Amino acid sequence: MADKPAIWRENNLQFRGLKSLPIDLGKGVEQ
Amino acid sequence: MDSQMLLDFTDHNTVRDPYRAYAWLREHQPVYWCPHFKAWFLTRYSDVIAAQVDTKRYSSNRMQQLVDAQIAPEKRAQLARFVELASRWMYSQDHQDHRDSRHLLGKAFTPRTLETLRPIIEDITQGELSGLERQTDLMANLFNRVPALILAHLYGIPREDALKLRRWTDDILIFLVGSLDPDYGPEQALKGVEEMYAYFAEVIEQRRKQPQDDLVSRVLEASIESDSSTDQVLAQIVFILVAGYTTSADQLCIGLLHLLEHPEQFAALTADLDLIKQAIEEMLRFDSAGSFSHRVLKEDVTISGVTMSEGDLVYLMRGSANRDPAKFPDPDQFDIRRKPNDHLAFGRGKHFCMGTVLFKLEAEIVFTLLLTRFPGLS
Repeated sequence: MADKPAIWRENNLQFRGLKSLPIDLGKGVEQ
Repeated sequence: MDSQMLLDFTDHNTVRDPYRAYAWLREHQPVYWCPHFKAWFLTRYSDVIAAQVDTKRYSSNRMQQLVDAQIAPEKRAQLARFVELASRWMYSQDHQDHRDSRHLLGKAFTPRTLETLRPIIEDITQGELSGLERQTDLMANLFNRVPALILAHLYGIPREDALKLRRWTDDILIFLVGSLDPDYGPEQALKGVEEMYAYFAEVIEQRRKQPQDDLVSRVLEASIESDSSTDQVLAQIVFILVAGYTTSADQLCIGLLHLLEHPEQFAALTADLDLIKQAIEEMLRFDSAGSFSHRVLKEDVTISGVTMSEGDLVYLMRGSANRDPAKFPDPDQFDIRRKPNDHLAFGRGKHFCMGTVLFKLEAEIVFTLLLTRFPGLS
């Protein structure tokens, strides 16, 4: 698991979005 | 919690999660005067969709009213230039002006034209995925970048210029919706808007001298056929960025967050990526990045016994409409198999978002490649 939480922007009711979305991508699949 | 607290739309908790406030409004005050925005909120699906398609009584020409509602009278004069520029976007136009502007972008946004972008979007996305570290911030390192790089390709501008675009679009949004940040308001944002217009005026001038196979050149070609002015072209070129960048980046990020917060849905999707299109529709319904639009009344309108007056600003709360139980069973359930899913994330009627097909294509490619490559992401 990513060790930090997602952080929402909190200054805009109309245009919603996140400041950051920390993710653990895991091992991934060879391309 | 009492309704006064619930309906404080300046409260950060309400801004982060407005859906309880919307539910209360739909049930108790479906036509609500919001003192903060100095505008009426319509929150029921049936009222929002009716207003979206009623261009006779609901005008899109609202830039002056938006500024007047949010900016103190002594500061409004500084914003006259913004009102003038933004009033030329198709978003702010009615009737023939709107049809003319939409026509300029029509050729560039047909499903067939956009489908030719598929391999380009795939290459951009694969390139970005290849550069990711295992622990990463997907907002900064993927979702903010892919739409910018796609727009850079469409505009025919250098990749390194693409990421300037976010700051400029954020500046414009400050005019449209205000800012709760006391250190960054319209005065600061106006500088970004002027920079953005100067940048695209230069791009247009270059394409006029030397046409390329890109969106700007195609819009210029259409402008010659329709005898449109350079200002009209510039307005619509800038508007694509305003409408398409931030909203796309944010919607991708919000969509993935909700998938991760619903592990059984995430597992179902990774097990069967044929569900991707339905999943994207549900992401759009459940939490739309662009959660409302606005109009100005051209005459008095009465809904549910409440009369709104000519000249009033009305907010069409699509985020609320998309959670209306009168339209969607179990509306607060995130269900990637939901069908039908007739949400209003892209509006409806003559102002229906022209970027709908592009966004859905982008989302389909980004999520398919991301989840194929990293099925264990968490």
